[in-house]
Amino acid sequence: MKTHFHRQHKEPFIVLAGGIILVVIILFLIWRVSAVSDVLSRGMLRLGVPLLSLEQKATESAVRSNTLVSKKTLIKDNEALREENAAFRVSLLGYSIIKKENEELRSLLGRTGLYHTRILSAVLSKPPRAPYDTLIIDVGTEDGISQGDRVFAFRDVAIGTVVLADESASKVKLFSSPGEDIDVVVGDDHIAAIAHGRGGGNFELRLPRGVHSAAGDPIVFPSMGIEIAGVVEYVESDSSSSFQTVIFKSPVNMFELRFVEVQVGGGGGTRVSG
Amino acid sequence: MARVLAHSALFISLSFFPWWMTLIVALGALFLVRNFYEIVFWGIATDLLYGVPVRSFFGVNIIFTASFLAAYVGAEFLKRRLRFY
Repeated sequence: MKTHFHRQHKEPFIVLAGGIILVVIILFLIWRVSAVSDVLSRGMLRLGVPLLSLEQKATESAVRSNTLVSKKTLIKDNEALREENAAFRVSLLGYSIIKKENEELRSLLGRTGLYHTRILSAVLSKPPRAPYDTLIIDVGTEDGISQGDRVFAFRDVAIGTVVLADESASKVKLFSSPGEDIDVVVGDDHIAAIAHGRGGGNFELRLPRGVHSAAGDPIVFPSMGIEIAGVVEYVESDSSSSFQTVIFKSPVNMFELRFVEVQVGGGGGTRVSG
Repeated sequence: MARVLAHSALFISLSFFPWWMTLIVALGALFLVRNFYEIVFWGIATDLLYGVPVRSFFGVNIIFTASFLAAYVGAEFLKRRLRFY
């Protein structure tokens, strides 16, 4: 009788202990053994992507059929966007001339062959779905994507790198991922600095107080081409400190990203083609 | 029935909603469902799908799993001590 009582209580305990050990082993493998983590992540991407694609397709069809907004709002928005577009076109005229001139000068100086192919991709998952600051995009190794490829939005804004590429989907880690360090060049004086990611497209960096930096200053990646990292939002300066903290933000809203471009071949400092 | 509902809610939340909403759904599920240990496996699946080592989180890529495991242990501990539960 006594033995039976003990058995009844021992079995669930053994199952529980076994379960805990199994979970701990899986967690340890995912955390410390990158090969295991990669294989399992690829498996999850294959399972998860069809589902995430559904959301993308639903959003696209809702946008196309205009079921979510009234006609009046759409007409109003359309007019405002047309006006804004016309203004941008005018300001872009100068930009495209300078850009062409820049490329011609570079080819004169022998810096040709820097052109990389870019592949357009739909964003299947974006922040704040997970606190990791990652994107899941719908292109993978079948499209020529590989680990380390840089990801851009709106042509010139570099936003992250591919950390895992599966056949038809990839995982992108944003430069703004919390704690991530990136080399940047600040303002018109081209001050080199290291920026720290703060999540959601936000960054911060510390500069000596004497260095001029103001809201609106562009911050770029040190590269041959144009790779924008962000624009200064504000500068925190304390009279007791010899440093100032610059808070800057990517011009791209990561929470509203729908498409990105992946620069095939990795590496920075390049201009784009097609 | 509550278990099936909890699984469905978690699945939808992890697939389509922000992480903080998933955390609320997870906490709710832990208190509504008896011994909801499966939540840890949802955490593992989510970390495998979205996770990358994040420097600010000590290079850890198992944030969901760790949070869900801690929430599960905490909820089970609380449930045994709450008089009205």
